[in-house]
Amino acid sequence: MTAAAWAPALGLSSRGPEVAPPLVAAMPLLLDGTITLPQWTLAYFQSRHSAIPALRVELDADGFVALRHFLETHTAVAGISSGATLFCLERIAWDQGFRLTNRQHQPIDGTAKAVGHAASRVGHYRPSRTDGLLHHWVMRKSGSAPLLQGPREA
Amino acid sequence: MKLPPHVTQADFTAALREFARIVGPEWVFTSDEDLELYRDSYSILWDEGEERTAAAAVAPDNAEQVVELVKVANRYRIPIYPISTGKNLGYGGAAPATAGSVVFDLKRMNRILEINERHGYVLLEPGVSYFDLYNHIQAKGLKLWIDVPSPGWGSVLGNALDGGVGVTLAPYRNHFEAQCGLEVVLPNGTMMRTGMGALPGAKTWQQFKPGFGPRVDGLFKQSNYGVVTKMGLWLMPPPECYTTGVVEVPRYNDLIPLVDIIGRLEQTKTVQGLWSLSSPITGTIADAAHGGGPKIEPAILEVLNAPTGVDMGKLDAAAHTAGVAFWGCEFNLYGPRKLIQAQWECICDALSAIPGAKFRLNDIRTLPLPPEELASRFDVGPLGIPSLRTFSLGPMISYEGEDVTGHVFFSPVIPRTGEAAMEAMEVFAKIARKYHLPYPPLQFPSAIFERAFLFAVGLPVTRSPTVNARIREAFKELVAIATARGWGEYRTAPAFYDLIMGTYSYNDHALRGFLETIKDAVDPNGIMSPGRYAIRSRHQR
Repeated sequence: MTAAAWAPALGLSSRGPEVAPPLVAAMPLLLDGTITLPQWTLAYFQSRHSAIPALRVELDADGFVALRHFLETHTAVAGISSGATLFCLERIAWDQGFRLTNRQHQPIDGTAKAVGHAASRVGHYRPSRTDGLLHHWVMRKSGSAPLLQGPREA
Repeated sequence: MKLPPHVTQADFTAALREFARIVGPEWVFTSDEDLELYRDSYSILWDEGEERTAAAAVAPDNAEQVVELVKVANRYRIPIYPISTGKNLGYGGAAPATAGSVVFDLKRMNRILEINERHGYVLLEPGVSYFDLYNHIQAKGLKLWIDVPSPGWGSVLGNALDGGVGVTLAPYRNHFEAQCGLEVVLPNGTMMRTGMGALPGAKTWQQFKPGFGPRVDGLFKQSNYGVVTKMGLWLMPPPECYTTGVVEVPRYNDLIPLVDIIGRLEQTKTVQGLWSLSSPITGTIADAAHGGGPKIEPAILEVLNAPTGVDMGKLDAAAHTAGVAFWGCEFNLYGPRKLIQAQWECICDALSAIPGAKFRLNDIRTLPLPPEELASRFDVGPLGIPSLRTFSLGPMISYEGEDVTGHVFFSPVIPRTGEAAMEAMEVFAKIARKYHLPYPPLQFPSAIFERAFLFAVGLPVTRSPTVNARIREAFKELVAIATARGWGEYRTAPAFYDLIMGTYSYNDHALRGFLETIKDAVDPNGIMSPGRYAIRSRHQR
């Protein structure tokens, strides 16, 4: 599934300028399905990266399966999400060998320019007052063995 | 590299080498980056000297490897700390109870070994999460439901052993009580099965809990007597229908007969679904997480926001004047349509004894609900569906100028009476005001246990040692107040194990003494999760 293919389901907000997220490059993309994403999210990916794999993440049982499969098939993923969703995604991704390597955040309606910082390694996302902001981030597989490799047969 | 306590570098290196031989070197984790994942994200001791962090982690693939690992740990006196998925945030996460322990990460052991629709049970390994089990049932099209905690990414086995609870029908909500049969690797490396599982070739391991002789399963709940590598769990057939019914009673003191009458309905098994207490005067219906509800009357708001705390007499009068019921109670009702109707009739008959009680039964819905409706519901737990939606409740807030990064639960069990609920609301609110804790004007007890109330209060955790120290003081004061009233905690974070175990002090701590006697007998070297729930072997006490 590509980002553009999610268009009808994204429930996009029309607010905010068309600001491209600075961190998110043309890599497989996770979009937060628990919040209304700003318009630029779709516009950006439709115009530039309509063919990249994308997954709209819900924090439920179906979303968990889809997320695991997505992480199994990629070695680096970018994402746009709320802080609360990032907190969950990061912990799920840990078990599949991923580590958060970059993160920025900005107001969720895109009305101000990006704040926060990018770094080669940012460590964990910790819950904070930035939870209400929109986060752009990158996770990459580390050299450590992934603890979860899908359901096991008895 | 951090060393386990009282272990030499040479011994630790040798032990790690043997661990690697057993599980493969890629499943032994010693780097700072990997061990960071085993810190308790919600630690109230973050970055302080007393924070309990791991020296290494090992991830076995099966129970036979666990046996070998435990034998090696015993030989080198390495403290080990088994975790299932390590996601019981608020009660310790993946971090060990003793700093320098080697975490046994059992996530790779995620096999569903047997699932039996006819008899309604599953036999599974520690790494199976609620999501895994739910999705397995869906994929196989089995007519089974699971009782899920919030959130649902945790281990089914781990949650039961930690004393976790869910939100559906009473016989399944207490997850340890719903378990039927354990396989345990004891500290000396012996593998044992409880209940009927002790009979080679047993056909009823997951069908008969008592077994023969003493029932020892309880020794493996909130303890450190072994590594549980398999667990049976009773599952329920999916209910045909579901709905909620709401009862409102007008006056503050109506809480007393309300709780008593519902208690009788529960004891007779007329009421089996979870019911939630709320107050329409606060603008919420049932759990605050549902949101919505009526607007708060200005006169009521004034009483609720009084800086000295809520005066219940004034609040009762204001609510009465405004014509708003003081208490609301939402029942989750399950079963065939006829049963739900009959249950509701019984509830209405019984609670009609309270003058002014009002009743509303919502539409009885045939299950399963359509996917689009499930997607729009905030809380799908009552429908036996795991989710992580609890994390999207809203941005964390700040406390004393610091970002709130998590919480620790203060979780006392109080009597299932209106009087106790009123008293708890008052005394805990007082402490909340003293420490400026984020606390709603009215906090309600939960009916999640069958015969007692749980009065869980989440206290904020920050990354500031100064602020966290203040929270620890608040926690200790809450515990002291609860203990003085005969209310004990049912579960706690590792930082408070000793504090809480110290409150269970009847007859000069006879219970702790008994647990320590068992510990000395089964784990004389004290390698198994030392300090978990404040149980230690002789040389560690």
